[in-house]
Amino acid sequence: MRASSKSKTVLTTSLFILLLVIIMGISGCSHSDKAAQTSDSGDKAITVAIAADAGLDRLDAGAYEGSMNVHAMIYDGLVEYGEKGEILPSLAESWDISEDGKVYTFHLRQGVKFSDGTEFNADAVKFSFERWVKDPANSLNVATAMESLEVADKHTITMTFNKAYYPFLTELSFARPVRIISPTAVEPAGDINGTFVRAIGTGPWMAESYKTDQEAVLVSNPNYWGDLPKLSKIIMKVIPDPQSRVLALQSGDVDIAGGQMGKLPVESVPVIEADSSLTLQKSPGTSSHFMIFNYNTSALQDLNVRKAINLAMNKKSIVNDLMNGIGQEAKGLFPLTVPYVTESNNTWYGFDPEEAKQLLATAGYKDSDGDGIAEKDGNPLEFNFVLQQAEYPEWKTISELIQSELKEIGIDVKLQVLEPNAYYDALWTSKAYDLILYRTYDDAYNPHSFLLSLFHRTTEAPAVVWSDAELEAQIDNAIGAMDLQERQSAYDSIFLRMYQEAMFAAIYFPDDILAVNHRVTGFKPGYTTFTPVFWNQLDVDSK
Amino acid sequence: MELNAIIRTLLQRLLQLIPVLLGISVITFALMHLTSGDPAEIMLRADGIKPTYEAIEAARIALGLDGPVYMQYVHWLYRVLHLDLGISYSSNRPVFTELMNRFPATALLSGCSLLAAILIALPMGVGSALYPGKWFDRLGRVCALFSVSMPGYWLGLLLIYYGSVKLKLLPVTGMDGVSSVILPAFTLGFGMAGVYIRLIRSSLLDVLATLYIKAARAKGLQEWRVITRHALRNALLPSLTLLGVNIAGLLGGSVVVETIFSWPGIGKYVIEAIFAKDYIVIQGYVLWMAVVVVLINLAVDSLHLMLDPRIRLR
Repeated sequence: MRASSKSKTVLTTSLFILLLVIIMGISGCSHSDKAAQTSDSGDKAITVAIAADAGLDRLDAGAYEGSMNVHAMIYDGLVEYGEKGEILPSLAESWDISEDGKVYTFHLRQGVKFSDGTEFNADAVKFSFERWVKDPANSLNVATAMESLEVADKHTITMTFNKAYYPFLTELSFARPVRIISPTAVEPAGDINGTFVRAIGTGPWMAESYKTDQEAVLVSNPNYWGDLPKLSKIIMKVIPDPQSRVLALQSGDVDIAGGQMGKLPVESVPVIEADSSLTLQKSPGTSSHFMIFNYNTSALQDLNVRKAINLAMNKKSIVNDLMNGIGQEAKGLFPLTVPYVTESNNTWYGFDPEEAKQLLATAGYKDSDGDGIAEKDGNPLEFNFVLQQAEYPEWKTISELIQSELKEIGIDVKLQVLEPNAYYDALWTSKAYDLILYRTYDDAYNPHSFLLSLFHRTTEAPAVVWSDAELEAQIDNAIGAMDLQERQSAYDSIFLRMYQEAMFAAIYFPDDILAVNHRVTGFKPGYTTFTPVFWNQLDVDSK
Repeated sequence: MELNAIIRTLLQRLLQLIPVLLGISVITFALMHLTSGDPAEIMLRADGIKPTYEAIEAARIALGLDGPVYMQYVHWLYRVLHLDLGISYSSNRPVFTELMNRFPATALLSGCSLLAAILIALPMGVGSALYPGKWFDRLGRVCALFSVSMPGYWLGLLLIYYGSVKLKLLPVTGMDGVSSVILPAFTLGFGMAGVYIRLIRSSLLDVLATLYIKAARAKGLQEWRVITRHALRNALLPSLTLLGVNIAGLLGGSVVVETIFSWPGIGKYVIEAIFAKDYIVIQGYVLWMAVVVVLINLAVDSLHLMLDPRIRLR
């Protein structure tokens, strides 16, 4: 063995060298292709992180497929959703509504071309709508209430509905399926039953290339009818992991990330704020997070208990201590960015644990056995509190805080974290909860559509959140009101009734946060989650 | 063992695939229907609106979910027997195409991870066995400890932070040229290497103590020849068995590493399908993986036959 020590040393040395080579290989491999995509000669391009595949090859204007953000970049609607739900002209320059609110006549913009050069006209609108309007899977009112769709002349189209419903125009501003697609986008061209082949719209961007689960490249549409985008190219890069999105921002691989297209984790906010190459953009969103009370739980049928739960929550502390100061404490079901929500009708319960205890005492709950939990007729005040973490990781900490605060006033809360499917099953079908965390929808679904979906009975089932005949009548009133004044006062009374009856516990109004690299200029946040940025106005610093 | 016998064994193993596949598909089908959530409803809800009863019914019929569960299984089986894995609920594309589109990315990552694991484990394991108790052995021990204790998502994020953000050597994410595979492959490979370091070390130490090694040395063979020809060949057999299991696992896709590095592989795709209760995709994936696992086990067994004459003699 002694004799072989020399060759053993040789072996060890070579093993060690092999290790070194591996390490050098890993660290020395230069990263050559990174800069290429951002500084192509003369190309003004930016890279945006998205959380899920953009689905560019199936981005049919009339279907719910692929990324909603990209949808809204490629296709235009007849109208557009502006600040606080103001309806702005888009492909329709103007419109007339009949006295009874059932007939809508749209006067279309002239001289508009699709990105492939096909002419946009009333026939294209009719074609786009007829492709999906008859599909029973569609629950939009413009579809279910539509009686006829007539081409009056080349640039005029008339929609007749079987009822008056003021949010028809709002629905027409959605990202899908209401936007207009070129008749040449299907095979055979112009056939409403034809198969979708490529995404051709009138929007400022058009599809250039696409790699499933990797990236979608959009280039500016030279035929666009409005102000041409300043950028020539936007690369949508799929980065599913939130932490990886932050790292990609820091390394400069990505110029913009955040919003609903790929949320940034709240805990990364200080990291982004500390990075000199990035700016954090906060804009108030249109959604809110709130707690639903099960109206079948007998203890929760007592108004005083519902008020007490509301008063026990320190909503300021949720914003400041748990959410890094991102967002606002909730002052009702909807934030001020939602139409018909005003400073005066947006009021909710504050933080007052003493009054909460009083209310519980008034309701007959007293801690008689000294275990810290209040009882009535020997039954302790216990609730199971259902939530999910997969879509909203922040709900875990929020619910833990609420749990401890309710304990303070003598309510025992058991947290139940479910996987999303089980959670939605509990929410919609089994109602297996006493308390459950939920959020309002975004954008143009508020307030009418959310109220109808969650506070109003359907033909099959009672209301989801809180079943109240008077509220349902008020919602019907608001939806049918064609007069703006009348509608506003109907909404005022809806919000007031919700407050008086403490129909839920308002918690948190989140902000949409986006991080933007300094080389990107002209950033302006959009008014909807599907248009989080006015992409056309973005530019890059030539430096 | 004669050639005929070998072919017969192979055929037998392939025939065993049929009951395995049937059993697995029945179990997954049953499990999926036992968990909560209706795929038709989930698909419609993904659009953000509470669907009406009519909409859900229409979607159910369109997806073929309207009949009793056993009939759904029979329909599915009938299609599979005609080599059609079906159409995904959520993407409306054929499942086989979807899986095959993603499989190359996963296979590439698996291959590179395996290479990384071998390149780390082989020198460390052999070195540790040659110098038990010395500094190289201690280094191997520390390495193995880190390898098994560091979770992939942590190591992955650390590697991105130092490799891409600080040093700007490698891309953060995506599949884009040779440089992009290095970090995810190292993350996966390093995670596997620990077990092999220890396994190679202990089996090599065992083999080095045997009489035939003494005999080889007594013949006056050079030490490196003794180690590579006589010792390693025998010492690597246990690792080979484990490698088979690991390769199958890798080819199934790594959800964590694929997600962190935005790798367009099969693991991430299947997790999304599970959350969406896309039965067709899950069934297709399970079938595919069952075939892969059986084939890899077969390959490992054949390799054993080739490398170890003692098994052939039995």
